[in-house]
Amino acid sequence: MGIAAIGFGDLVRPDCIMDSLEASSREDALLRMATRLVESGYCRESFPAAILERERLHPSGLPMRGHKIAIPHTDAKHVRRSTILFARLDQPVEFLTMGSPDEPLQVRMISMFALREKHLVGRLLTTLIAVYQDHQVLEALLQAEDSREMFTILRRAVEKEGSES
Amino acid sequence: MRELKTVILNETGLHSRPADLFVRTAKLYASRITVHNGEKRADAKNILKVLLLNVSQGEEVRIVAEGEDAVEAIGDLKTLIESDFCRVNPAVDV
Repeated sequence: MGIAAIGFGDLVRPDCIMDSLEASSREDALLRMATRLVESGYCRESFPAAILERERLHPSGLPMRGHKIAIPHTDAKHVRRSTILFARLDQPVEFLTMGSPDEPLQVRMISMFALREKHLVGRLLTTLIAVYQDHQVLEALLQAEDSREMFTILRRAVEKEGSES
Repeated sequence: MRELKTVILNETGLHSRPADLFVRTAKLYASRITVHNGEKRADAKNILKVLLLNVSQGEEVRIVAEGEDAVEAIGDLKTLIESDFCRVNPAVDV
C-alpha cells in the first residue's frame, strides 16, 4: 500500500524522533540526522552528501512566526523507504531561509523527510508547513518530556492536517 | 501592470527547489508580485505563502506584477518557469 492511501501520519514513526540532538552547526545536525536514516535502512549511502549539497544550494529554514524550523530533504533516488525524521536540538543552530538565503534563522527543530514518491513532495511540504505554522504544536514539541511524547504530538498533528487538506 | 498565465510542468509543482528559485527571482524586483492558483493568491516574495498555495504539476497559475519593473519581473519569472526552474538570473546565486 502506498503512502497516498495510508496518509502522511504514518510517516511519523517512533524510531524517527530525536529528542535531544547535540550539533555544533547546521551541517553537523544534517549529517547526524542523515546518517541515522542510512543506518536505520531508510536511505541510501548517497543520502547524507545529497542533503548537505541541497541545503547549500537551496536552504530549508522556514521563517515562521515564533519558533523556527528547517525542513531539509533531497531527491527520491537517495531514499529506500519514506519517513519523516524529526529532531529537537539541545542548542539552536543557524540555518538560512528558503527563498531568502541572505537571511539567517536560529533553528531549534529540524523536520527532515525522505520521500520515495516524488509526486507527493508538494503535498507533504504543504502539510508539514501547515502543521508547523501552528505555534502551539511547535511549543508542545519543544516542551515535550521525551521522544515518545513528541511522537504522539507530531503524529496527531500531521494526521489532523492531512485529513483537512 | 503585467500578467502571465502559465502551466507548472515541474513534477514537484511550485514547491521545494522551484519555490525557492521562484521567490528568490521575484525578490529581485521592486514590483508587487502575486501568484494566483484558482481563487487563491499569494505574495510571490513570501515563501510560506507560495508553498501553501499548493500548486501541483499541471496546474495553471496567473502571475501579476505591478510596478516600474513589472515587465522585467514577468519576463524573468516566465523564463524561469519555462526553463523548468533552472537558474536564469545570475543575481540568484545558486
